Amino acid sequence: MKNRIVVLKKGVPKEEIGEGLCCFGGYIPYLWM
Amino acid sequence: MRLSRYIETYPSPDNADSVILFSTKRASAVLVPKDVLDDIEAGRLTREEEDELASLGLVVPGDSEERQEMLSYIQDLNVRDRSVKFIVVLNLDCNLACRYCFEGTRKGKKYLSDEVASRFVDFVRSRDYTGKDEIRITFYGGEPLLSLDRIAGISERIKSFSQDRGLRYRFSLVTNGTLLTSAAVKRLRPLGLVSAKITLDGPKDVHDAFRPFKGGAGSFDAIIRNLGETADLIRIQIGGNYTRDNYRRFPALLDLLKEQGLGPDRIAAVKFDPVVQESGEFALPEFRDGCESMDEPWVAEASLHLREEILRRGYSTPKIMPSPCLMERDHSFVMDHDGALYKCPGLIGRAGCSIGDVANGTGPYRASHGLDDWKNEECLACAYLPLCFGGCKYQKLLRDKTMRGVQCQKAYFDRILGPLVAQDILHGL
Repeated sequence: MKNRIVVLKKGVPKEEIGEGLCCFGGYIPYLWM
Repeated sequence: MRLSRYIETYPSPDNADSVILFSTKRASAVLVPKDVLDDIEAGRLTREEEDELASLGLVVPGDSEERQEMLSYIQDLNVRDRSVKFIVVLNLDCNLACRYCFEGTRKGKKYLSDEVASRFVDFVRSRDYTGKDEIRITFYGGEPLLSLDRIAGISERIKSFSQDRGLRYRFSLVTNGTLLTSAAVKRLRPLGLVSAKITLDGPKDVHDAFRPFKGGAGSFDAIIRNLGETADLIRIQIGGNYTRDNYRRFPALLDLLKEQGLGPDRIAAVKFDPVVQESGEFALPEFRDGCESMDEPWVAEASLHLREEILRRGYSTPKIMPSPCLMERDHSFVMDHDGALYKCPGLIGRAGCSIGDVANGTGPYRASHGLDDWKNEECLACAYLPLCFGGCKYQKLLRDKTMRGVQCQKAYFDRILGPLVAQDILHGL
């Protein structure tokens, strides 16, 4: 059976989740560092 | 294996027989024929398919395991977190007179004293750094570069003891950019300065109308000049605050930046946000154009439009991913100029919102800040939970006068998440 799954976005590795932080509605760019 | 409950399903734009599955937990997305959904529930996936979907967080061993994963999500993040973070409000003074300043009537000639600065350094030094490898400070204001010597003094002391303990020290500035000269950057960079976020509210005429110097002159040209001098020295992140009436003008700023040689190769990231209407307690009396809620339909339209304009010009902007509130971090503090400690810069000076001070330490705050209030059946069953975790407590406080309870963002995500995911896929984020 051919692979029916097309990956569009690999996403964030589990260990990197949380590196993105929202601070003050995104105003403080912790998310961006 | 079961389909994760933290998935949104969107129609494929090209194939009516296929759907896009997006994991809010992992920010992953796949395109699959619709019958794959049935095959997941019936256990008919091949081993390879199951492994691939599991690696992307799209299928999980079972509901109870995933529920437990979410309940311990924040705690797990705190265990994994390697940095101790501080936001330091150095002053509440400014050389600009922005029309919508959220600090509003809190502003004035208020500066961190020598005594508070020393107590802050002692407070930083006294933290438990077991399992940590970094101290990270964001200097904030008012305008932090009005306190240049203070930044240098604090950083020299923290950098010194960080090195003694084998910790890395780095810091950032949230600055209006008018004082971000190459001389200031060259002085601070050896002390740990790595990045600065500056604010440009659209092209010159719009920006100068919203962010003039106190004397009334426009600040746009000074900021652009400084960006030209410093963009190769540190990471420059550009923010901008728009209203319903002016957001359509913001793409012109991006074109102007490119014309000035400040393209994606020199600017680390760009992100625009709506001006949020401050509460009557602190709001500048003449400004009424901020949005009351992210649920206002024009906010979704504006943020999608501007994000697309940013991405199609090649600039970086934050991708969609779980982004828990900084308040959730055990090792994260905001210090006001007077030494009072908070969990969010939006809370400074608000009665009942301080969690302690640098002289006496902190007390419990999770209940008063409503930080576990998303741990209810409705939120746990919501596919948006990993992107939300109860919403923004600052906005909740402005709207409902309390941080207890959740600021449900379902209507906002219903409107915006599908197009955001499509943008991420289109632009390869």
